[in-house]
Order: sequence, then structure tokens, then C-alpha cells
Amino acid sequence: MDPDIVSLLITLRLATVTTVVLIVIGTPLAWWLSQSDGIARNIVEPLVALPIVLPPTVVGFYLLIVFSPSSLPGRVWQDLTGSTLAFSFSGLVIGSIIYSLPFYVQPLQVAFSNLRKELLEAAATLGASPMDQFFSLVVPLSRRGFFIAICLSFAHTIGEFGIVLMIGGNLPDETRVLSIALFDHVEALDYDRAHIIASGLLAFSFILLFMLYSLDRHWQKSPFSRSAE
Amino acid sequence: MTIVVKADFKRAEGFQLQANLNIATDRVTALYGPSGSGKTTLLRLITGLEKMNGIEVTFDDEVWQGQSVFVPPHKRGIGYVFQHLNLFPHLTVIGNLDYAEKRQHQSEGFEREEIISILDLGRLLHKYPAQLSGGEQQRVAISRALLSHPRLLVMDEPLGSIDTVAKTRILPYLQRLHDALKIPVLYISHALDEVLEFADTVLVMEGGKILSESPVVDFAVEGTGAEQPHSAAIIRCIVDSASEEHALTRVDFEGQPMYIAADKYHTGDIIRIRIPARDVSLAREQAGTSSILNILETQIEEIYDPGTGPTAVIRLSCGKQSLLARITRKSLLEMELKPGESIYSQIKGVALITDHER
Repeated sequence: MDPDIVSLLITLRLATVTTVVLIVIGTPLAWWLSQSDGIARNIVEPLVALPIVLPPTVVGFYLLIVFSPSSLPGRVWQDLTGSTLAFSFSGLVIGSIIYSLPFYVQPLQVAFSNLRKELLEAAATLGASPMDQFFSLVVPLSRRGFFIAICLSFAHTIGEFGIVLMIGGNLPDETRVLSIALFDHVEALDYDRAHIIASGLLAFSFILLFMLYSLDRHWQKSPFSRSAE
Repeated sequence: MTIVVKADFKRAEGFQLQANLNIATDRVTALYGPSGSGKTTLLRLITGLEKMNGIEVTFDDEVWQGQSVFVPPHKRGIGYVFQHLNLFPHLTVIGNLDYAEKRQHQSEGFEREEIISILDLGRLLHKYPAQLSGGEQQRVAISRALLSHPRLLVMDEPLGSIDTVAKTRILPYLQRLHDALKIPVLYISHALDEVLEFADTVLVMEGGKILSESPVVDFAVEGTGAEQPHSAAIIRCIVDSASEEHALTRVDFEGQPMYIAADKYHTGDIIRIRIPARDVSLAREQAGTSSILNILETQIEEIYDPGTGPTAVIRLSCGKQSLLARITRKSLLEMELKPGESIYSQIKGVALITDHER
């Protein structure tokens, strides 16, 4: 198979796995951030946002240290799986989750904060447990937030470079994602292949954002969104 | 049924709360008081939507909140109609009703068809809340709360966020509902006309305390202040003949016929009429020919003579109900009226307008 196709598949797999994991862990985190106040939240909130301002290499550097078999998490992982986290697909997933976390959590947190609390109270008096309220009300009423969060974290994972380079290395069948492959082609002065990847990523990103904005406009006009926001 | 809320605390602003509510099944109990008197806080503590430490809430012999107990709101079986419109915006009217029906608190309660007909939702079913008027939304909200088959219905200023016109349209629905209800209702309001129209018992609340508890008829007499110019009696009548001859409806009031300017009622309907004290005059003899349509045989129950000013108010009994008459103090002295005396009460026919037609 063409090595660039392999890179494409790795990239899509990484973005998909990362997004799925983010949905599972990022959703409760966003809910907690939107509902609570206190010291814990005030510390966690900027922590989640850190990857936005931090150079990816900083995150990558610390992850490398944590992944190394001389640290406790690295050793535990090695004892359990027999391989190291650094320079592996699993390590890449962990790095991507951390790096894309704010792109998932923040739009969702905003959507959750904008929900009218009285709607949940009404649901409670109608006999809905908190979990029931979440799935029957919070999720459908925050669908716009979910959509934006999922699109942004997926796209952001695809576009990631620095952190992948730091912790993933450049292993052809394991960790070489599209952005790395592009870098390789430029290094090798293979501009034809670089063009294909670069223009492909550009087109993909544009189409994704175009869809995001169009759908958003469509939802703004739907009969219930006026009072939902 | 009895709800007891024991809360003895003071917030920084000096807010305190103590209440002991007795609420009768199939009766509407109104909590009446000015804004900031603690009505909504009391209601939120009862429903469990607000949690404050160190308070006790019991419902009959069930402890809803105690030292180590806190029953979450979704397990208390309370239907809540909020002041602000709270329909789920992503669901149609039907979807909102389904939501309640799927999570019913108990098996007994209104059937969907029954409630749709009482609150006249037929034409609204497939609309989204944003497409409904405020009054329509509140009718749906009331239906939704009732379809969850609550053991207790609480309504917090349910007409507070809709305009006066919509309000006069929704009040007849509330009256129809009142007659069909089989569960206790706790109705919060600072609007006197709503309380008089809908409540059976009135609890007056101020500064976090219940000041008084009285049947609405007595409340209409005393609560509005006999000395106040707007004092009025609330009476209940049964529609006798719904004939629209002369655009009048004949009703039965404690065995005596009365004519009121109202239509759209069916024979047997129980309606509530507000009779302002100033529209009632008293006569010892039954007048021969008179333009006054309604003359009732009544008995003087009590005389409120303020001792000063031009008028006094007289409370008259007619069967089990009461009327109020405002007469001049001069007439009171000249006629030498005494409690226990039989007297004819003349009511200006045209003044007989049911509340929700104003």
C-alpha cells in the first residue's frame, strides 16, 4: 500500500479513537465544569485549557518523561502490555486526548452552561433521575455544542504535529500520521506528494468548517432553537 | 394531608422561614403574600429543588428531608408548574406530554384524553413551545405536570409571566380543572384575583411565616379587608339553566335563584362569582316592582363598623355561604341592624360578572 495511504488511515484511526475517548471522558468533565464552582473547578478549568497556549513540544516533552519505563506510569504500562507507550499508537492516542481536550470540553461546557436550569428542575419534578435528565434533555438540547465539540476535536487531532513528532516518532506503520508524512516529503523535496497531502488537508478542513457553520445556521432557524438557547 | 416544613435559620439578609401546612386532598390551598415573603423558597424546599441543611420536611408520615434523609425531587411525586414557561423546547406539545406520561409517579391520575379536553389542547398537540402563546404554554405545562400523576400539585405564580388578556383566558380552564382535580394543590400567588378565583383555602404568608389560614370565603371578607373599598364576597353557584334568553344565565345559590350576565356555561356547572360589597344593598321588605333582579333572603351575621368614615360592611349568611354589603353608617344606625336579623340583600344585576369575564 502507498505509504501516504497508510498515513491517512493511521491519521483517521487516531482522530476517531481520540474523539470517541473524548466523548466518554470529556462529556462528564464538561458537565462537572459547567455545574460546579469551587477551588477544584477553578484549578481544573485552566488545566484543561493549557494545551491551547502551551507549545505542543512542552506537552510532548513531559509525556515522554511520563511514558518512559523509569517513571511509574510508564513501568506499569510496560508490565501490563510488554511494550512502551512512547513511539506507539496508544501513546499517540493519549497525547492527542490531552492536546485536543480543550477543543472538546470548551464548546460543550458553554452549551451546558447556557441550558436553563429550570428545564432540568421541571424534568426532575416529572420523575426524571439526574441520569435520565442528562440523556433526555441535556444531550438533545446541547446537540449544537456536541456537534461543534466533536468536529473540532476530530479536526484538531488530524492537524496535530508537534506532539506527535515528540512522542510518536515517525514509524511508518504505527505513528506516521499525515502531518508528519507531509513534513517528510518537504524534507525530501518531494513537492508533488507534499502538495497532495497539504491540499487534501486544506480541503478537508475547509469542508468541515463549512459544514459546521451551515448546520449551525440551519439549527438557529429550527422552531425550537430560539427558546433553547 | 399535612406538609410540615421546619426551618429556623436566618440568612445574612435576615430571611427566616417556618411553616406548617395542612392541605386538604382535592382542595386548592393558596399561599398568598407579597414578593419576598418566602413563598417560593418554601415551595422549593418542599419539592427538594432547593436543599438547605438543618431543615425538616415531612409529607404526612413520610420524611422528605431530615437529619440524615434527603429524598431527591424526582422521587417525591410532586407536580410543579413554574412561574416561567418551562416546556422542553425540543419537543412538541405531544412530546412534552409523553415525557411526563413515561415517568409517572403513580398509576392513579388524569388520562391523557381527559386532560387534553379539560385544558383544550387539541389544536396545539403538534406545535413546538416556541410557536405557542404564553397562556397556551402554561396550559400545556399544567397538563404535563398533571400527566405525571403527582401526589401533590404545586403551582408557583403560574399566571405570573403571562399578560392580563391571556390570564383572563386561562382562568376558566383553571376553574374547570379545579372541579376535576382529585389531588391537593398548593398555589402560590401575590395576585388577589387569582387566589379568589381558584383557591379554597388561603394561607397568608409574610416574612417567612404563615400568618393566617382561612377558607377563601372568609379570606375574601377579611383578607381583602372589610374596610377596603374593594372588599368582595366569593360565592359558588350551580348553573340552573344555561338558556341565553336576555343573555342571562340562571344559577342556584343556596337554593335561591339568581341571574348572572354570563354565557357558555352548561347546566350543572359549578361557577364562582365575585360580588363586590358595594353592589349589595339591604332592605327589610321585599320591594314590589324593582329594577333589581337579584334579591336574596339573607341573615345578618356580623357587622364591621369601623367607627369612623362614611361606610360599614355587613356580612350576611345565605345557607352556608356569605355575602358582603357595604352600606353607609348612617343607614346602619337608622335601620338599627342587628346580627341574627333576617334581611333582603339586593344585588345589582349587571354587577354580577364572573371574575374571568372581567
